Amino acid sequence: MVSWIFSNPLLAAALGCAGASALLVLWYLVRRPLLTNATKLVLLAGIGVLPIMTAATGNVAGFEATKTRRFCSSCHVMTPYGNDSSDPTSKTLAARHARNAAFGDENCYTCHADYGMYGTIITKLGGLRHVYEYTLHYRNMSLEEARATIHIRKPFPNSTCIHCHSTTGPLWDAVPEHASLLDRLRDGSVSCASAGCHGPAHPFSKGPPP
Amino acid sequence: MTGKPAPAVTPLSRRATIALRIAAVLTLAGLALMVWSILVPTPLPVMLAMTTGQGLGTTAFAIYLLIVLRHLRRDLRAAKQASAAASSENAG
Repeated sequence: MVSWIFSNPLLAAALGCAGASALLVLWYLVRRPLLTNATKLVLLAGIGVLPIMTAATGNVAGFEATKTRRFCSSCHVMTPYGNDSSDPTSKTLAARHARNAAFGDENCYTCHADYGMYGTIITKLGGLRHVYEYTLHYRNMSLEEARATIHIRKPFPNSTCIHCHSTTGPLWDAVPEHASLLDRLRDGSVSCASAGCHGPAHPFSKGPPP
Repeated sequence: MTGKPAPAVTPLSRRATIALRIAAVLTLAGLALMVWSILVPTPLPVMLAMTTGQGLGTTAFAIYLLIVLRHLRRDLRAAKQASAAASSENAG
């Protein structure tokens, strides 16, 4: 864990600021000095500046952490999805994308995030909804039950696929189905992930138990 | 060697002292939540750090600012009164 933290300068800075702040505050609590100008400055650092720096760096590190597959699959009902993405032998759409360096450890977020100007905010609000749903409905649910119950809230948008697969490359155009369905793929009336095309990204979550 | 005497420090009232200690304890609690979210980046710690942790930290800093600004203002007023008294003594 130590190497993981110190490999990320933001995490190291956040922990350093938190440690320094805690030392200053503990010094004040233990020594109980008079409120001289020096004490005011020490407390300004200990209660103000250093905690603000901890919160700022911690926020950035936290937002980055929320993008990782480890974070998404930390709720037990998402574990099979995370395990499948991490499986180097899996042939599912999700796993094949996770093996691409452009997705890597953040493949859940990369595919499920909304793009656009407010995409990050909308995605984070959606994440809060996931927390709400998990806490109230799925927390004590078995994996089997969850597999049958959990579903994507709205159809997976083709615009997410088109973000990388632009639909204008010659290789893409050379596929006859792509060419014949071009307009319907672009307007979203036919899903890239529909049966008969590329299929669902997490096929184990559809249909009868494996 | 002659040095300037250190300015007298106005002691804090008991309530202000307790409030400042509470601010210090709130800071430690907020920091603990933030560090927890960094070491264990799962939904519960991350959400607690970004809500409760930062709320505790903000409250602590607000208490600190309130106490210290009042203390500074009192010091300033005392210094003004002392200088006014000294100048009236010199004039007399």
